[in-house]
Amino acid sequence: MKRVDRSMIDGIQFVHCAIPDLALKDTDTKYKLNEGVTLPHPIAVNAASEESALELSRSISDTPIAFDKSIFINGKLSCSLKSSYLVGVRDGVEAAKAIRLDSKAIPCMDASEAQDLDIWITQLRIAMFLTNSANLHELGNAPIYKMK
Amino acid sequence: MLEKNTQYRDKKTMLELVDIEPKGGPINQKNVDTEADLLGRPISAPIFISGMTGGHPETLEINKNIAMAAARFNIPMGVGSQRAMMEKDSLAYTYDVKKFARELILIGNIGASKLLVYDDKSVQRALDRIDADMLAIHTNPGQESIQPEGDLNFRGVMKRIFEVSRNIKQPVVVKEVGNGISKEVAASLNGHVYAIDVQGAGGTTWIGVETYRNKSRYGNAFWDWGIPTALSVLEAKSAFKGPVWSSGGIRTPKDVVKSIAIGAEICGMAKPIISSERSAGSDGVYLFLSKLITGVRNEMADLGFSSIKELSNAKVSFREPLNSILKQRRILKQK
Repeated sequence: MKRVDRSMIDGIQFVHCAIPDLALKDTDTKYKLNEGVTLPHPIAVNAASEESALELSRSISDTPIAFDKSIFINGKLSCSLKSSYLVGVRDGVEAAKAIRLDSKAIPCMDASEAQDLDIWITQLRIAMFLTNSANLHELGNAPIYKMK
Repeated sequence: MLEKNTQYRDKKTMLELVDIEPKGGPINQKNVDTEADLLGRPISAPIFISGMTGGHPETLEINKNIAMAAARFNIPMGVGSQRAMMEKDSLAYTYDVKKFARELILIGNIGASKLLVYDDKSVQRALDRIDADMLAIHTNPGQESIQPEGDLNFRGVMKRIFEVSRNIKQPVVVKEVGNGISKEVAASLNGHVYAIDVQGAGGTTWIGVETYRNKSRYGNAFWDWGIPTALSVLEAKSAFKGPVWSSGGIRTPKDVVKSIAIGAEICGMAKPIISSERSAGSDGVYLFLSKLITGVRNEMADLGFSSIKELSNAKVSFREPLNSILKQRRILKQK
């Protein structure tokens, strides 16, 4: 579990694409872990314990729940995880920035914010749309500039 | 809606990071000529009025007031999206301002994503209906993303822009609505359209307007999304061989002068125009334009430039972070 470097997140800007060649609905947020598991999207909810991870995972289906080095989906342990979780990300645009800076990172929201998960995912998809990124691989290569 | 603060929060135009090297000492204002030209027609200053409104009965008065003031200075003027009149012809009169100002250079307007719906003949008919001299195709994926019923399919839009530009009589300018045009997009447009109006970040944010209007749960994260105007002009200039227009947060004579110095052909304004129209009608717009042009002349005189051509060849330097961004983006060479 890593805390996001705020100066990095605040210090980069995506280069806006005024004429994307895609539709928002076609943006593909599927995220394939090295461990062979494909997540529906790359935003995880950070659980405080294994028990709460299991409980959250049952209540929020299809959402990756992160705890320690494990990831839970649909109420069961999916895999032990080598990818790094990033905490301290504040919204879906920052999640997109975190992925752009480190394609292996999984941005994590706090369990107390889990009700905003759909907002974060929509924001991530809008960020993909506005950078003409059809999938997360393309988002990882989207043009950016650093403010300093 | 514009009474609410819908300006960018933490982003400026970056024109404040542009410095112009004076051409010798100050000169007398009487020796400064601000005249420029657009499509081979003289305009009294390198300024145009960005398209804002049309399509509602009340907007005729606004467009008429702006048109009458613009025509007195030979300043080109745009109208708002003509979508309303394309769907309901009886609303065409709200855009039809040449009957009040015959010599006006008038810029028609249609949304880029709407080109997937309208064929070239419909676009041509809409332009002819108001005797437009140019067509601005506005692209606004950021704004659309925050609207509940926004057009979120841009697949094939670029190709349609090329087709329309090829098939209609009027020259086409592609413009953003406040999020800027990158060098990648400018490169794609190169050779296909007459001009690019960058309408960059730093002024009004339409994402902000839509966030207020729709109480959007997504919008705040995108409030400051976009390429600042000065950076966008330089990005577009680096990849597009035709004219590049500067707009987005242009408020002062200094903004105009700096825009021309970094390579813009002309500069667009919207918010100060609508504010002056709302406060004092056509006379308000006339007074604003008069002060603006005088201000441009004074700025040029202070810097020693006697013509727009001289100003457009001025030596400029960039302060940080604009300087380093231009290097990262390979617009300026790394030392």
